[in-house]
Amino acid sequence: MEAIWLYQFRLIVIGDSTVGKSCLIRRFTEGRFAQVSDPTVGVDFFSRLVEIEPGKRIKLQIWDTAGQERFRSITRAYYRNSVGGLLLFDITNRRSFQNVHEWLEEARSHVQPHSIVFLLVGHKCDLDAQRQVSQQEAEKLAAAYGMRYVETSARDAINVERAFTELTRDIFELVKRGDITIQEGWEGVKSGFVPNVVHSSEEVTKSDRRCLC
Amino acid sequence: MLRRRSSSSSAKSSTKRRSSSAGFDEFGFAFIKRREKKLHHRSHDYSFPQPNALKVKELCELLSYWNGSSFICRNQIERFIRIGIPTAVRGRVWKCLLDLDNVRVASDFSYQVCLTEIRKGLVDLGVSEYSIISAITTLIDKENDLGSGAGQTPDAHSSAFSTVDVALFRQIALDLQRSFPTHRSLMGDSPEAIEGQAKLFRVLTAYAKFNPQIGYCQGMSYIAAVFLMLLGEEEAFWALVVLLEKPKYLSELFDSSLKKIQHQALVFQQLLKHRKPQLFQHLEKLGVSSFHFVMQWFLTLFTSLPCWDSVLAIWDLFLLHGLLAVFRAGLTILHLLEPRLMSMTEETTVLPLLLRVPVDVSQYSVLIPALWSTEVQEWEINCMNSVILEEMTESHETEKTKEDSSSSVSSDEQKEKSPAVENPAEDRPCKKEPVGPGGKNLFARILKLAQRYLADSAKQNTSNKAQPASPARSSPVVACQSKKRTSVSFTQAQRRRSQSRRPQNEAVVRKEPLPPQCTDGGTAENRSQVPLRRLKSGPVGRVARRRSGVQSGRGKSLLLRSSNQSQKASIPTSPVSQDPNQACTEPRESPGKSSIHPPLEEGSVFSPRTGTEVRESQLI
Repeated sequence: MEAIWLYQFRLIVIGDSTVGKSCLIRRFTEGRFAQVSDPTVGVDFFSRLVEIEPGKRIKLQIWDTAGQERFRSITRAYYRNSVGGLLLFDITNRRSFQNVHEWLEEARSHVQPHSIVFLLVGHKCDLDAQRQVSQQEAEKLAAAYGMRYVETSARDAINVERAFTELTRDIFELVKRGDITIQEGWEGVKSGFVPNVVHSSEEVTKSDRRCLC
Repeated sequence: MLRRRSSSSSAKSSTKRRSSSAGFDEFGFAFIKRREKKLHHRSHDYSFPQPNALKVKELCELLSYWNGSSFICRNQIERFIRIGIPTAVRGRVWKCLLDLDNVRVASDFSYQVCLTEIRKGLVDLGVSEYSIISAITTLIDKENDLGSGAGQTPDAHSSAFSTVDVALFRQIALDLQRSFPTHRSLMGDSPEAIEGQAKLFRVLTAYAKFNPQIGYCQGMSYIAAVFLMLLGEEEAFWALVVLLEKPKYLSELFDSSLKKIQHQALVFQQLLKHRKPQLFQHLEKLGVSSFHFVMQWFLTLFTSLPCWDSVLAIWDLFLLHGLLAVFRAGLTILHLLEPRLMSMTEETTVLPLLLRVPVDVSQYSVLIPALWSTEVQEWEINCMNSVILEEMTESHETEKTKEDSSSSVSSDEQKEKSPAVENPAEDRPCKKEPVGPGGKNLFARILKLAQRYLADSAKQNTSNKAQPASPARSSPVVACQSKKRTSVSFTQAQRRRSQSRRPQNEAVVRKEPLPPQCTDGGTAENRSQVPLRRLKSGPVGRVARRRSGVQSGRGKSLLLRSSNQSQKASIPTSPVSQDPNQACTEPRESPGKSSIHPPLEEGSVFSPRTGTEVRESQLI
């Protein structure tokens, strides 16, 4: 029997406080935008299926993290078991962009012995008038670290699908090439072909619905 | 089902509910269009009961002669909490439970003076708490300037604010509009909301000044906002102080290391293992750590539950009993979700359910009765706590031994080095030989811990008296030890067990007079006296026997625990010499029996029955 999903990838979403991590994830997983969302205390969890090619579905487990520095001692425990990450900054807040280095360092030092495929996300691109970080600048930084760069807006649903799908594709390619392998005791990547996995019908319908939009 | 009104009493109050101002429900949460209901799920049809007028009058009378250190008062108030505190009186009840007036009088900190200072800083920065949005922009810009500008230190010196202040103000300002964004006092830009956000800003910054070591941590804004909904501004500030400073409540939970919350999560995990072994195993099999959802419960005190009447009822109990109520409410939620969780086969479905508890479980008519029938005892938490501490010490010692096998280091030294042990004051006053670096007979260990806990309370008192521990260092354990038993403390299940197995247990408990304890709201001094009295009321051995007797009912899960541990490999399986350790804490009435008893092998599976028998035999 064909599995509902080929692989399960675990992603982590990081970035400064109020850059819009939770809003971006909610837009992606629930398809809507909340004007205001509660500050994340500790970690939060979401999941969704994405179809990277017809019939090839990947299940994403997405860990949302608190942006406040104090919570890093807690959130850093989540790096190790993640295969991918979205590193967000707010294009209207220069400081959140400057902190990108710090976030990468933080991730790098806690992900050992594994590694994380990062995507740099310039969020709130609907607020172009208040922009403090130019696209070129962000692209340059992303290239320097070997990351892709995407500008998104949860409010206007710009590039949200693209951001997650591109990251998923990149990871999928690495998995296919064998650069990333499934390992016992590591949650980053899991195969869908596990005999004892029972899939709820709800997820199937959910994914179908998502694919239409 | 969601719209169900639970009882006739709630129907009675429905007229009142409808009459509350258009757009907001009686707790001040906005009605949201049906379409968006799922988005901001705060306002619901509430199902909390309305106590009759006579009861309300009685409650008001009780509050008028309230004495926080009186056992009778606290016992009475628990009765009222059980019936349900009327919304109109809740503020007064909380003030009494937190003993706000006395705390305020006893402190030399002045809220108003502090605000003056803060305002000076704000003026220098050119921001005001009354225009939060522009304040955020200004603060972020300022931070950028300070961060990028080379001469940041002279700048900080010359003005009334520092980089730390700017970061603090910025972080608080960012969270103001996100904490209960659908509550009338915080929603949008109405005059009421502007005032509400300004108050919240002031209370949080003032607390950060009150205790700069803790400062501001996300999660606090929820707690302060709840207080502001029911109390005046300055009262809310003091309420926050009590909550964040008293070991009974959340002291140290928000500190910069966040170690204690991680520790509490482990304690909860142990409790779950102990009380709901099947569920625990199931979650473990799916790879779900309770850490993910427990942290939120502790740091935001269940304010994320969708039904506000339930949140307030949990808070009523929390303010009376402290942290114990968090364990209790958490366990209740898991209990109610258990059938659903057991049928789930993936972490992906389990976690959202636990992180966003659905309405049908969190509504008052379901959650609160279940909460009252779920008992969690202090000694249980204390035991779990000790197990965790001991495991940490052991694993730490193992590491040590690996690193340096030649030098013999005393366990106390190591404990102090262990980052997870935040509380040297709690270190066993009963000084012992280093714990062997191996898995130990779990039963003996638990038994020993229960006994040590009793011995501790005696020693603790003497040490407390000699040298009162600073509040920041006293542990939850210490605080809990002294906490009274406000109700007859056996759960139904425990009672059944003790009746069937050891009928005399109950008798022993009944015979023992409950000490006239008063400690919950009291000061450290009177807190420290209580366990002494308790000990006076009966020989240690008898209490120990009673306690261990109750514990024996837990044999099953504890056994499971011992079998799990070998898998986790957190405790090495090398052979142990354990007997000498136990000698000093063995109870008088069981002369060395449990230490004589051969240690249970790690990893071997015991039938619960055998386990219980073993324990029974140890105790008799």
